[in-house]
Amino acid sequence: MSRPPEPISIWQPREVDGERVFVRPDPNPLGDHYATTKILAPKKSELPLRVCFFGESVAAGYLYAPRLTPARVLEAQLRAIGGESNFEVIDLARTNERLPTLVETVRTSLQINPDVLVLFVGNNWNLLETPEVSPYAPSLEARRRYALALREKGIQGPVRLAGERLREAAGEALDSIALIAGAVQIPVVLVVPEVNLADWETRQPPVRLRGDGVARWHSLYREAGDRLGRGDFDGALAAAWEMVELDEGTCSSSWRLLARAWRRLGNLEEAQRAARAEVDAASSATLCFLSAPQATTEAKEILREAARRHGFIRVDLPEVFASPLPDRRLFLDYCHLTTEGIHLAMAAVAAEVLSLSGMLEEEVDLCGLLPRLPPPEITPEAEATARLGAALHSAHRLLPVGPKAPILEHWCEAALDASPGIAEAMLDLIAARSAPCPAVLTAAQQRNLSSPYRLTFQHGWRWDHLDADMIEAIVAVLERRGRPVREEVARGLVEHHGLREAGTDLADPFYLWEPLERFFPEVMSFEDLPRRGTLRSPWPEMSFCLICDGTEDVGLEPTVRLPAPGKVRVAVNGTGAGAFEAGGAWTRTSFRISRGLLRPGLNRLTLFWPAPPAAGEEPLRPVLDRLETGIAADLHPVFGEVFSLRARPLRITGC
Amino acid sequence: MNILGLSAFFHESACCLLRDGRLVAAAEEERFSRVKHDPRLPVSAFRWCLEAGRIGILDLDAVAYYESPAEKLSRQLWAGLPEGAPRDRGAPERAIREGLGWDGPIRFYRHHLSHAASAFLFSGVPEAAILTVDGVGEWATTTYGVGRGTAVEIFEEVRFPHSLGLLYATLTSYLGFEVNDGEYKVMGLAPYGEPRHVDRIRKLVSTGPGGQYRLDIQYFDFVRGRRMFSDALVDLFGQPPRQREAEITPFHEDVARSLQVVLEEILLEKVRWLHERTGARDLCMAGGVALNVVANGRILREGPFERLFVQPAAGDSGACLGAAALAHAELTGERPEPLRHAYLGPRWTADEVAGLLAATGLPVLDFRSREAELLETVVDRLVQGAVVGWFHGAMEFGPRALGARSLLADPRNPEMRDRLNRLVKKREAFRPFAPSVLDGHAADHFDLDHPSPFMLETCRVTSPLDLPAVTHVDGSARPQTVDPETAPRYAALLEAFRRRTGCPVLVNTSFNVRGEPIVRSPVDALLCLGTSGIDALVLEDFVIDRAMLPAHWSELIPVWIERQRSPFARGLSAISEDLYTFV
Repeated sequence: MSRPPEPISIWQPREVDGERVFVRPDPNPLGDHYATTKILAPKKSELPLRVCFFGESVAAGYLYAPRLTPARVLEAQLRAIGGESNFEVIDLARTNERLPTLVETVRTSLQINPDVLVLFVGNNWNLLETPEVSPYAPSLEARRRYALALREKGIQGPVRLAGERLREAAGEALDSIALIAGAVQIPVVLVVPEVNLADWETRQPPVRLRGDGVARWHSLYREAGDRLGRGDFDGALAAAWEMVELDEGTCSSSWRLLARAWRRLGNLEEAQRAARAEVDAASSATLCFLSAPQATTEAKEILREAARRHGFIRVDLPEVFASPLPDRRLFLDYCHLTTEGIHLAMAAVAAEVLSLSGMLEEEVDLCGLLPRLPPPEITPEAEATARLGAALHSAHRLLPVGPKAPILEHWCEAALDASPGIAEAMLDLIAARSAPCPAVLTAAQQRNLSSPYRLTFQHGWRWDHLDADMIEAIVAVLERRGRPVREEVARGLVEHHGLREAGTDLADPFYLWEPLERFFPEVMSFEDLPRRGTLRSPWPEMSFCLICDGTEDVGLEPTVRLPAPGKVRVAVNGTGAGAFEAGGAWTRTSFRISRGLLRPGLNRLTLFWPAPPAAGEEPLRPVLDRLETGIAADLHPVFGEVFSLRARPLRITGC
Repeated sequence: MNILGLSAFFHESACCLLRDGRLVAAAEEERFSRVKHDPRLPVSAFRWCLEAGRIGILDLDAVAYYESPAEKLSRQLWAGLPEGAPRDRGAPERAIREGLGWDGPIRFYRHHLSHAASAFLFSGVPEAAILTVDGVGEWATTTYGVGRGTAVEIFEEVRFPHSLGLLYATLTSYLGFEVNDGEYKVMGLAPYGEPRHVDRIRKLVSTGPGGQYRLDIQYFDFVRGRRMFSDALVDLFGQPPRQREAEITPFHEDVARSLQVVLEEILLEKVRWLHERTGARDLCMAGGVALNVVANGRILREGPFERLFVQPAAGDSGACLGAAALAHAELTGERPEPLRHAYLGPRWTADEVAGLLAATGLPVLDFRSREAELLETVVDRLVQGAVVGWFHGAMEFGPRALGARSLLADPRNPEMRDRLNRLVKKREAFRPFAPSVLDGHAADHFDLDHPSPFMLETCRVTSPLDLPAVTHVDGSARPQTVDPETAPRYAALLEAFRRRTGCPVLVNTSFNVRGEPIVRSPVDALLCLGTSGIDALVLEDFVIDRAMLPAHWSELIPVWIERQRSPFARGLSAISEDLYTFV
């Protein structure tokens, strides 16, 4: 008796005209995680050869999909060389793919008779496969396990634990896929991912360090940055190495500064080594819940090892891209590919599939093949939308060790280069962000929906924070191109978010300047864990959006506390505005900001915290004490905590 | 003197701010988080309470918590905590200190004492008997006491596992409804049935001397099990438990009726004993079972007390009021001011709403400074059979919409109940809708001789008008009397409707769709408008008709809301709807 048909991913088995097919539910109107192919059907003839394509968001063409996807590019390439009717690619990739569902999708895909399986995975593994290796894991048992690893091996303990668990989970999944493919004797092509090493940076704080280690580390961080700015690259290198020694290599920022210094010194091999170490450190669940990119050395080695073990054909993107520091030419953000990146990666896959099917001459290598392949078909509007999406994604997830504006402005410029009409979508985006309601309720979104630059959830349309960096980048770029929008944007912001007479609390997460700071465990709230009503800063500074018309002084009333009494400095738009004393208990102060420091619209208000007091010889002891009793714990020292930051206009009365 | 009352970590977490004895703010966390019955630390409600009081954390004098964590833990340990649950009596205090940032004094009060104080200390009567009934607090499930001046004395209690609340919750679960949410549905279902299973229910619970009663624990599994009832209960009724959303049969109606009858019998018996014991003229009630409005109606009509005060947020959310009142009485020796109304939540000005509406681009009708025209416009729509979302003033505290976040309709319309259910509420057809009636006209339409501002008792409908949309199958209704002093615009709307139609009554049901908390903000109201069949929305001084909405709203807003929901809201937490969660 044959097995009853099973769903393939979200494609449900149906009987249509007497034929068993698999039908996709209607796509979400703002985009969803899956390819838009409506119906999948079993193969009926030898040809075309059927390639089933699996993977995560990178494989699904994040920010381009559904207008352009790697699967579609691959199909066009295969057909260009192998003949129009000889190949088809079935796109089963999905954003947020996980290993158990990947295996299940591969297994159920056999119902539609693939001839080749292509797996493009490994970009999500740390976040999605080992989330329990975290001091914030919801399960008490997981916290205790974390504590045990921390106690036995120090800060490297949980990193190793996460690695072991990942090797176990991924190894098992890849073994299962080998069995599935082996049972029907079809080849598997495994794509080892690459990441953006040049442009994507991950600024994270170090964990609690012995003695005055934290203060020393941050002092070195500033020193390395200063030296890089002054062109003293050897000095920067020395400072960064000292940081690595202090944090035992567990902090991504130290590696990034090293990578920057090596790059400026022209040693790209060392720069690459440091940048890869940055990726490995950043993706450790030890330090940060949400990090990017995640295709670590470990993940790539797991894939290579599986390819060796099972005889999978390996397409190694680090080799294909052949760049010591792959950059924005190939990547929209940390791991999602540009059109060029997709073209190149899929060409390497196509070469292997064509070789397998005997349709590529033996002497032709990738370099020889590339000129014969058609460029990806994409409209200027779709290209521009993806590039604007890259700017948005960077605005929401990038925390560089240097300024963020250049990369955001680069992608805004690139979007306008692709299609100048996208300026209207940019202004609609600002209008939606400025509105006192979710974008879905705004007239701006309505306009965008009917434009050729339709933004979806993937493009960060749903973001519910002010998006200050993005607004500033768009304004800067449009102004540079001769479109005077600054005043209009400022008016819109002031209209809806200008300071209220009764005071506006800038500690509302909506006003946090760097939305990514919310991803630091100290700042963000975790589901199922005790929630926090205060902002705790894990970095020596914290910035807020202050929106006003710039015509009046502003009264600021911070309520803050520090690990030990000290002085908090205040800056507005990068200019010092004074300082106030704060204590270990909540301290409320009144503070006046002169209108001379303010400009109409967005103003960046920054609090600079004093260095935290020195820790003892066992700085992680309090962490262990909590974790061992099952209580979530913060590994990072807190520089300062904000309860409220009320700002209100100070009316000038009398003479 | 600023005291913050706090209920949290079970279900319906909430905060209130009591300033110099006056309640200035109170709100449930679910209204902010959009997670129905949100049990988590009410961070948003806490911050909003301070903002509403225009104070900071340094201006608070004390936090008053509605439970004794140590005593609660002892009961939890006795009952056997689920695997992996924390055994940490310090957890609530740690969460308050770390989560809210509060480093000042915290006063802990027993759960039922908090309930008792929430009713008596805000009742305005100098002396009263007090009855609290719910599922369980620390150990107590029912308490009897007396209040005099600032003192609240509890002199008898029924202890876990014997609990009328858990009895009701168990049968709620057996009948296929969610524990801690579906009890209202069982009460609404009861009039459709006959008391055929009273004898069986009496096997589950038997009364004892004084205030005591006992459950026959063989029929229950909530103490250490993963569901509320045991196989013995299923055997007793001879029918398998109803599955969620399965058809409701006469058997289910009869069980609901029988349960309600037995509950009322026991409560009446205990209330009579309480009256004998205290000699008081007034009775104050709180606890989840005090939201059983049918039982409340009988207690008032057939019981020995002259007056009944039920605190409008009688469930756990409202216990924060009691904790705050107890702290206030201890710290000042004074009693808080009586609770005159439940409009204690967030409010928005017409100008703020105007700014929001401008961003939406909707072609709204603007009635700023033209209230009379606004009301006539709303009446136009009501008499045409429209379901109107009514958003005005400060949000209500407690589970009832009382004319601030309400859906309104014409009660004379025989199709209105079905229409409301089909287009908006999407809830079970058997559940009745409640009426609001203008103060001074209540007695002409209902068997009601006293104000009922909080919609917490039922009575017979005696109206000369046919009011099918608000009259339950047994001829009863659960009216809210609307006082022009406390709800002037809502009262004016009722008056405008009366002038036009001769009917001073409107259907008043909560402004939400099934599974969602009541709306809090204008944005919530617009999102609800976009996902339901509401015909028109009144947002303060503005009217928005459904025809004004852009086409994409109905398609995109549900997607948006789903994406906005946290994993917690999507049911990914450890909390089960099938068990009265003790964690």
